[in-house]
Amino acid sequence: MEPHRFHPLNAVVGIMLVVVGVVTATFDLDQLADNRVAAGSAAIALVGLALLPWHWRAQRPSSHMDETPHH
Amino acid sequence: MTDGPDRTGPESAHGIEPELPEHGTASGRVIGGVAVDLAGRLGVDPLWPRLVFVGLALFGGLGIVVYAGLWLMLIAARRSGWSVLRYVGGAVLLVGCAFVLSDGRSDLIDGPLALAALLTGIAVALWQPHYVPALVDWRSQPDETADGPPAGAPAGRAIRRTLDWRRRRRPRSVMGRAVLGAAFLTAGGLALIDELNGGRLHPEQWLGTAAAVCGTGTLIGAWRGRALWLVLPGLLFAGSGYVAGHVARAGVQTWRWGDAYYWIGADGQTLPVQGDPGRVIGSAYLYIDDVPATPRELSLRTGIGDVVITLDDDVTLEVLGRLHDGRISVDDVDQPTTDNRTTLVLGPDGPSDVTVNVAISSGDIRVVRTEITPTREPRRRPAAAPFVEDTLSSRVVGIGEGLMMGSDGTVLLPGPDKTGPLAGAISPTGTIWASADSQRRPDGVTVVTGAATEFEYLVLPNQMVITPSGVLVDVPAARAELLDDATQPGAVPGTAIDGREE
Repeated sequence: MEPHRFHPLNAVVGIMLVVVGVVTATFDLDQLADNRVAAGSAAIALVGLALLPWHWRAQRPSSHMDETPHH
Repeated sequence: MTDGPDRTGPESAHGIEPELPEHGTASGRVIGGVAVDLAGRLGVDPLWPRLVFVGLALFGGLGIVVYAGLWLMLIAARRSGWSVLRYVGGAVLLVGCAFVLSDGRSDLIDGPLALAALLTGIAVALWQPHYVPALVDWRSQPDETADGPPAGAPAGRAIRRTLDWRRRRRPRSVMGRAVLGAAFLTAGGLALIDELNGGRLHPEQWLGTAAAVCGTGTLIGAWRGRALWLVLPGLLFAGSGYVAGHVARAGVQTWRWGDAYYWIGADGQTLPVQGDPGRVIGSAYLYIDDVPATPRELSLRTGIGDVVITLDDDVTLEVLGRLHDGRISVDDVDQPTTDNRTTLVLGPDGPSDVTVNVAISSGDIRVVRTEITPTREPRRRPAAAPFVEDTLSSRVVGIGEGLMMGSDGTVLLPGPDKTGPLAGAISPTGTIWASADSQRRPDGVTVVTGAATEFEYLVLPNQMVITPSGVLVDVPAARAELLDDATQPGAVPGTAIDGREE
């Protein structure tokens, strides 16, 4: 598992997911889920954040680090 | 090509002959190598055959039988060189599958232990390293001549990578899979602990912890491995934990979804006698448009959803509600609750016509009273018991086992405290007055419950009574004897069927 440059998006999403997990485990998700629109929006936003890199990756050229040998 | 035995399956799309690994985890083998072998033949990731075996194992162990048969056919026969093992494996497959699939042996195994086994199996399936070092090696050695993958491409999982090797920019890290496997193991382990400790943990706790493990993996991915996709299983863990926790809290035993509509009237009902089986998510709507012919006691359960009762104001309704997160209202007016429990009695005074036990984890109980115009003359509820208004002291005689009978033939069923309130009464016409906890069973026997637990009379359809001590009292015989000799009040011996004389 090679280290790579720091990806802040991973850090943000990871922290949010840890919070969601802890809130679930401590039975506090009820308070968030009381407003189901807000809860659904938060989940969609989290998934949307996680999907952003796929969009970026499709648009940008290969980085030096990710260079694939061409033949 | 790497060293190893020749592959016996069909060629891949690129015409290469990927080797089937023989030994150890370095080859991707977990148990017998069947999944890797199948994956090599099918050109898919070994993860998928493994997940199929894990899933089939829950159906009466079908996956284990299939795995054993395939191992004999594919692995043991090749290693030993004994072709007869192929036939033995085929026989194991045929006979074993027929045995498991017969007589309902393939019923889905459920319960926390099955869930723990499933999660552990998935974790093992995900945990395998998948030739990442080998992948890096052969990618770093450009092959100028081959149209297909370069030499050194490993077998099994690598076949799929071979097909799109030109498109990949960097090798996939094992970190995401390892974290997902750890999350499954965490959930499975906590589920097992939950089972062994009699349900002290909630699904929110073990699935929420698994979600936190996924979050931790995503956070680590900021420096190593990325694996941003872990957000999806993480949210699934959290969401399923949230739902499963509410389901467990409401005591729902089924996996039904969606709304349900029930009706109770004078002539019948659409609600099952034992009550609604419950639902995971969805609301229950109950319409009571008339006084039922006999008192009804029903249950409505939902994990996440509402219970809405629309009630004719001629009906006496008792609602015994248990709410974890919600409110109860009558005609849009909130009602008080104590320790998440509430008891509501609505309608005319007297014993309940309908008793509804409601259990909701997240949702509301709404009762709407309305005047429903009957299509025929409504049945009137029985009048108050005559013995309540009479002076009983000179009109009541004992008929044995503590039971008393009024001069009009009404039988009084004393409570646990002989000088305390009555448990119930039976009129000569068969009408039974009893507490709200009493109920009529489908076989026609009415269970009259006293204030104390384990204290109940059974009133048979012919009005014979089984007392809490288990003695059968022939009430019709005692009544006939009393009414025949009405001018000479006194104790009438009870008919003790067990041979004892009163």
